[in-house]
Amino acid sequence: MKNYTNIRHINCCSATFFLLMITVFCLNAQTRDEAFSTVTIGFNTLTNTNRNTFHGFWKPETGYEAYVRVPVQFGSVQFGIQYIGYSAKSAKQPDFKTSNWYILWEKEWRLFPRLSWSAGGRVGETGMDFEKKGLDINPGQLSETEFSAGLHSRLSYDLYRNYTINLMVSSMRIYTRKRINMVHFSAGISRRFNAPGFVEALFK
Amino acid sequence: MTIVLCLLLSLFGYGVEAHPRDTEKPYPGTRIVTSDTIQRSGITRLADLFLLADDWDISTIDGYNWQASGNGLSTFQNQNWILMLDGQRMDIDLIGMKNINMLPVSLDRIESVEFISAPKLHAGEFTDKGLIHIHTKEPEPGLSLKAHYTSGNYTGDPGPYAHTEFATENVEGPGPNVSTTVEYGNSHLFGSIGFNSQYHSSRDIEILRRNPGYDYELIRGWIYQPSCTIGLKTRSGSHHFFYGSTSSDEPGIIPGSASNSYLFFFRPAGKEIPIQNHFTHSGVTGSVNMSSEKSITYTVSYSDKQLKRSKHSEFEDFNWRSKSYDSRVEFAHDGPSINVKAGAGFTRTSLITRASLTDNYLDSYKIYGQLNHIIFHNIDQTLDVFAQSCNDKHGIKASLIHAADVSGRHTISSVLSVSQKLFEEDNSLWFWVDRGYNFLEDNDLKYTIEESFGKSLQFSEDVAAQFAINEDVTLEPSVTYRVFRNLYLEKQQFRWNSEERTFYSPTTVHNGIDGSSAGAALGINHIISQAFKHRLYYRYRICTGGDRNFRDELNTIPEHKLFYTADFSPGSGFSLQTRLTYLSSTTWSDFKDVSQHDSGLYNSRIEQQTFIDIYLKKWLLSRKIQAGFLFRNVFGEKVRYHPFGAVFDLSFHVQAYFFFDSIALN
Repeated sequence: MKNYTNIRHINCCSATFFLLMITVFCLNAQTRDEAFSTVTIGFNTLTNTNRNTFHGFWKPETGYEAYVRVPVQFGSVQFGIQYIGYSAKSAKQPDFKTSNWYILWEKEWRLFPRLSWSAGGRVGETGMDFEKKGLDINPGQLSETEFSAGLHSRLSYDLYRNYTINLMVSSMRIYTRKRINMVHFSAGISRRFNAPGFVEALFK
Repeated sequence: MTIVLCLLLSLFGYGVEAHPRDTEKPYPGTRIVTSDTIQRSGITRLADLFLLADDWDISTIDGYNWQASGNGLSTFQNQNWILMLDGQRMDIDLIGMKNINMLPVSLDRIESVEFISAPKLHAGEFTDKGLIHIHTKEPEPGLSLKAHYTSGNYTGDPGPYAHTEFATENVEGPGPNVSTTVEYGNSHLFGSIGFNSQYHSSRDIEILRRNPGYDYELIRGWIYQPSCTIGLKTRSGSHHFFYGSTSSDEPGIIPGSASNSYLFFFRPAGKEIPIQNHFTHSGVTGSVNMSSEKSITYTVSYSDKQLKRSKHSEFEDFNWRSKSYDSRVEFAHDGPSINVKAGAGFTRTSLITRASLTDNYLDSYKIYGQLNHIIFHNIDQTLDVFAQSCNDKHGIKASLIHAADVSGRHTISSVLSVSQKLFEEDNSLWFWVDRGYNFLEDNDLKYTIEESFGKSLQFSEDVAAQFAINEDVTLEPSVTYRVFRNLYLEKQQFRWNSEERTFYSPTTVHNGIDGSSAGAALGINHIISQAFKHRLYYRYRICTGGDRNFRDELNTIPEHKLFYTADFSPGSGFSLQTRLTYLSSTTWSDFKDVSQHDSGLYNSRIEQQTFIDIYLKKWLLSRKIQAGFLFRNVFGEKVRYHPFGAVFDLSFHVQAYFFFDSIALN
C-alpha cells in the first residue's frame, strides 16, 4: 500500500510538472528571440548519480551525449542522444547499453553577461540492448525500447567566441512497468554556429 | 415538438426567415469530424475516429478492434452500424467483428467523417442502427504525394527488470503504420494509388494471461492495404471508382514480417482466436445531372471477404467467405421550396463455406423516398420512408425531421422515427447458424437459441438545438429517447475453469427482448481568442425500462460521459490539444464471475475513469510536413474499456503527415 501511495504521489508530481510546463509554454508563446538564427552543437560526458532498486542490480558506466539545439519562437528545442552502459552486479543479469533519443524544450535566462541558466522538459525513447553473455535470454528480449520523460536544467558559461561550457542535470523516468528513475549529471562543451537557411525553411 | 418550440420562440419576438433545407446543418445525432479536427487530435488510426465522436460509445479489448454503439441505437453486441466510404457501403463485417481499421483508406486522405446516430435516410441507407460515412479529399491539381507515418509505445515493458524477480510480460505499442498515396487531378479527371500497412500486436498482460498457449507469432501481424481511385467529372455529372483491399496473410512484403495473424475475441468461444482475413471492395458511384434541378445518382459495388483462422490455431478453420453485390439508383429533384428523392436498391450476400446451408445467399431489396419542404416560415420538414424486403420478409422504416432556424442564430431540430428491423438485416453469425453454418458445432461451442428470430421494432425521438449566445459561445443541448421491441441478445456466464484453463461459457440467444433508454447531452463551445478555444461535452444516459437482459446490456455503457477539449494555437504552425475524458463506471453481467481467475486481472465492474491525452504538433517546410507527439493517458491512470480488455497505461506516439501537393502541375 505504501508503494502504491508513492506511485500515486509521483504521478501527481508528474502531472503537476506537466501542467506547469504547458503553462510556461503558453506564457512564453509570444516571445520571439532570434528564432532559427543559430544552431548549437554540443558534446557531454555524463554520469548516473542516483541510487535506487535498479542500481541494486546494475552499476552505471560513464556515458556520452551529443545534441543539436535550435532557438524557436519560445525557448529552444534540442535533439540529442545519450549513450550509457550498465554492468550487472550479478551473473544472473545481463550487461546492457542504453541509447536515449530525446527531444527537449528549454527556456534560457541570462544570469550574468557570460553565465546563463536554462530549464525545461524532455521526452524520448530509451533503447536497451542486452548482452546475452551465456544467459538464457529469448532473442526477442535482447533489445527493448521504452518511453522516457523528465526535467532538465543547464548552466552555461560562454568561454570564447561561440564556445560554451555546459553543466547539465537531468531527472528522467523510464516508463517500464516498474518505473526506473535516473538522475544524470553531465558536463561538456558546445559551439554555436549561424544557422544555414534550410533550418529556418524547415521550421517555418 | 420542434414546431411547438419554434412557435413559442416566435411568440417571444424572435425573427423568422424562410430558407430551403441546408444539408450541412447539424441535425440531431449528426457529428461531423473534419480533417482539421483529425489532425489537431493526433489520432493515429481509423478506429481512433471513435474517440472523436462524442455521442458514440465505445469498447475495446485490445485497442485495435473497437465496438461502437451510436448514441444508444444498439448495444455493443450488435455491431450492425453501417460503414460508408464516398457513397459506397463498405461491408467489412466478419461474423460479429467490425474492425474499421480494415477499411483501406488512410487518415491523411480523409476530408470529413459523418457519425450519424439518429434514424433517417442517408445516401440510400436508413440509419436506424447508426452510420459512419467517410468522405475522402479530391486530389489537388497536378501530381501530389501524401504520406502518413505513426508509431507508438505503450509503457509498461519490463525493461531490464525482465531479468530480475520483478519480471513482467512485454507489451508492444501500435504501429508502425505507414501510408503513401500518389494522386493526380485536373478539372475533368482525378485518380490516386495508395498503399497502407499497419502493424498490430496483442501483447497485453490481460490478453496473454487468458491465452497462455499463444506464442508471440500468433498475436502480432501486418495488415496490407492497396487502394486505387479514379474520378471523372463532366458537365453532366461525376463518376467515382474505388478499389481497395485489405489482407493480413501476405508474408514477407515487409522484411521480418514472418507471421501475420492477429487476435479476434470470438465471444461464443470466450477467448481470442488468431485470425487472418481478406477484404476486397470495388465499386462505382456517380451522379448524372438531367437538368439544374433533377439528377440521378447510382452506386454499384462488389465486396469479397474471407475469415481464416491462423494455421497454428487450436480451432477448426472458420471456413467463411462472403461475397456481396450492392446496387442502388436514386432520383432527386431539388426545387426552390420542395426537394424530393426516390430510390431503389438491391443487395445479394452469399456465403461460401463447406458447411451445407439451406440457402447460401440472401437477397435484399429496398425502395425509399424523401420529401423535404418548408412548412412554416423558418421550419422545414423532411419525411423519409424506407421499405426493405429480405428473405420474403418485409420491414418499413420512417422518420420525420423538423428543423427550425430562429433569427438566424439559433437552430432547433428533431428526428422522430419508427423502424421495423429484420433479423436478416444484421447478416449475423446467428443468421448463418440458422441456415446451417456449423463452425460452432465443429469446435464444440455450445449454444441455445430461445424462441425464433423475428422482426424487431424501434421507436426513437431526438431533439437538438444550437444556441449562439454570442459570437464566441455556442450551446448545444440535446435529448434522445429510444424504445426497442423484440430484440435478440446473447447471454453467457464467463467463469474461470481452472482445470481446463478457460473462460468458455455456452451461449444462450434470447429473443423477444424489450427495453427503452433516454439520454440528454450538452455541448458548450467557447472561443476565448484566435489562439485558444475549448469545448465541453457532457452526456447522461439511462435505461428507462425493459427486461433484465436489456438492462444488463445498457449497464455496459457509461451513464455519465464527459469530454473537455482545449485547443491552443499560438501561431507559427504550432498547436497543442488537450483532451480530458471522464467515463462513469460500467457493469458487465456476463462477466460477473471472471474475478475468480488466479491472476486477479479481471473484474465485471469497470470503475469510473478520467484520463487526459495531449497532442503537440508543428508544421514544417511551409506546411508540407506536420510532425506531432501524442501522449495518451498522461497521468498513467488504469484505463480500461472491457472486463477482458487490456489496461491502457501512458502511451507515447510519434506521427508525421507529408503533404506534397501539386508538385507537378499540368
